[in-house]
Amino acid sequence: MNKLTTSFSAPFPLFRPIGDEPAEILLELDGKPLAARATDTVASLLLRHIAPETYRHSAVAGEPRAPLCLMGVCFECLIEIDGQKNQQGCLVRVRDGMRVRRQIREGGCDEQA
Amino acid sequence: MIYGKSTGVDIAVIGGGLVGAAIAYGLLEKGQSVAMFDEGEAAFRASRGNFGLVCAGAKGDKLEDYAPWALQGVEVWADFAERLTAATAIDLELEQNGGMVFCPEEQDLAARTATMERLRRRSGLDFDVLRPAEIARYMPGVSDNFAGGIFCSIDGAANPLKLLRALHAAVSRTPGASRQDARVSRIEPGSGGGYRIVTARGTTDCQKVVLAAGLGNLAMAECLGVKLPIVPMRGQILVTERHDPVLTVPSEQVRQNRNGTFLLGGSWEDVGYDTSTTFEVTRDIAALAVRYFPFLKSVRLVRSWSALRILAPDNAPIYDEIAPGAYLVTCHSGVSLAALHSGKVAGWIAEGILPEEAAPFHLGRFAAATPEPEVAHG
Repeated sequence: MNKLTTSFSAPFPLFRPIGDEPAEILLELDGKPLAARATDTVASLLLRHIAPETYRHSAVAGEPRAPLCLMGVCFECLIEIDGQKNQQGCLVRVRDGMRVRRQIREGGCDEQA
Repeated sequence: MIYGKSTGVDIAVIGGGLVGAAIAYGLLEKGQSVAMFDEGEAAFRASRGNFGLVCAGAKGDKLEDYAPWALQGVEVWADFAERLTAATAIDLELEQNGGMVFCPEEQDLAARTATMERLRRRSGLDFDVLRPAEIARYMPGVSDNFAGGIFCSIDGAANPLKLLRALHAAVSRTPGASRQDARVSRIEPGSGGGYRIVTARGTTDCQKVVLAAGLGNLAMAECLGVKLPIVPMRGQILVTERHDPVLTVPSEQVRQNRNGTFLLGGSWEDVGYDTSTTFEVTRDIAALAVRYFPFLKSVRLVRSWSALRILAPDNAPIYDEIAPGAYLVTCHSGVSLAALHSGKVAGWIAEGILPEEAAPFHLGRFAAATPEPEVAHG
């Protein structure tokens, strides 16, 4: 599990977890496995594992965007989930086998290795 | 905003939509003293609900004289946009990368081609008849599930909301010229000639009056004893979430805005003054858009609205001096014709001489269809 989660560990994550809930949900982020807690939303999960400026690029200007309100209002957390683009990551609970893909301009953002 | 109980201007423009604001802007450019009366939120406001095509290719099928007029309007649009943007610093998002008219079935394509050939003899407007594989060069992602389309390279689109905002900004540079929430209740004969414009806030005396109030022109013209043959024709429009920029050529069914959203439309419904949206039309618009562009299937809608086109029996504009110094301007194409309205049409109102190519749009052409012996001809 540790190996899986560290494959997306940002150098300076915006958030860290509270409590000791185990990460038992396994999903895919950009085609790579990532473990999540059952209470995570897609946005909360990513905010612990990626640099926020790599969350999304805006569709036209290609500017970096990241979750802001975390309550379904601001639409900054848009992300592709199971093939459907522009889902609100802050409103979608993680599920086993979920395929999450960041909407990132090609060549616009370094993969977290 | 406070105006005096009774004020005076040379020209009163009734209507602050795309037509009224374009004319008011043009008249101010010519040094006229102008008051533009904008009704406010209660109005039907076709200018706030339209699709924004700058289009000559689809015009003139019922009145051939409209084809050269629309073409001229599209030809002068870029210069007009440049001047308006220079005056207001508002980008109108004009793009003239060509426009497409989709023809779903073979007989549609044949009929449309015949119409375009007939209109080309009148206006000189050039076009190409394209099959889906050729259309894909202009419109990536298009399907092959339809007969073809007519491509006019001069056509395009602008942002109609930015256009309206820019026109209002330009008019507002002259203090007192833009009168907001100023619903005109009636036009009366002026005491010393001319007209008196009556609103809830007071009256304005003017030498000339321009009727540019969209469907509101029906009531305004009635003040002058003239019955107009215009009717509302509802169009419903859907807007999607943002998408990567892929489409630079618009059509009446699908266009992508500069902000990445797609507008889907093209419905024509004769339902009177009903501005609601319906499930059936929403579904049909979406289905047709997906037929032409299958990738839209996974792009979600954000909202929908409807607006009322202002339609004469031949879909063409009406320009007429319906009483001495009272100028009627009504049309369905406030965007496509905006440049002409601020130029030649404003010139007609300021100087009294209608350009020859606009003469066919007089009100009298409907006299046979709607016998109104009291109708004045300009």
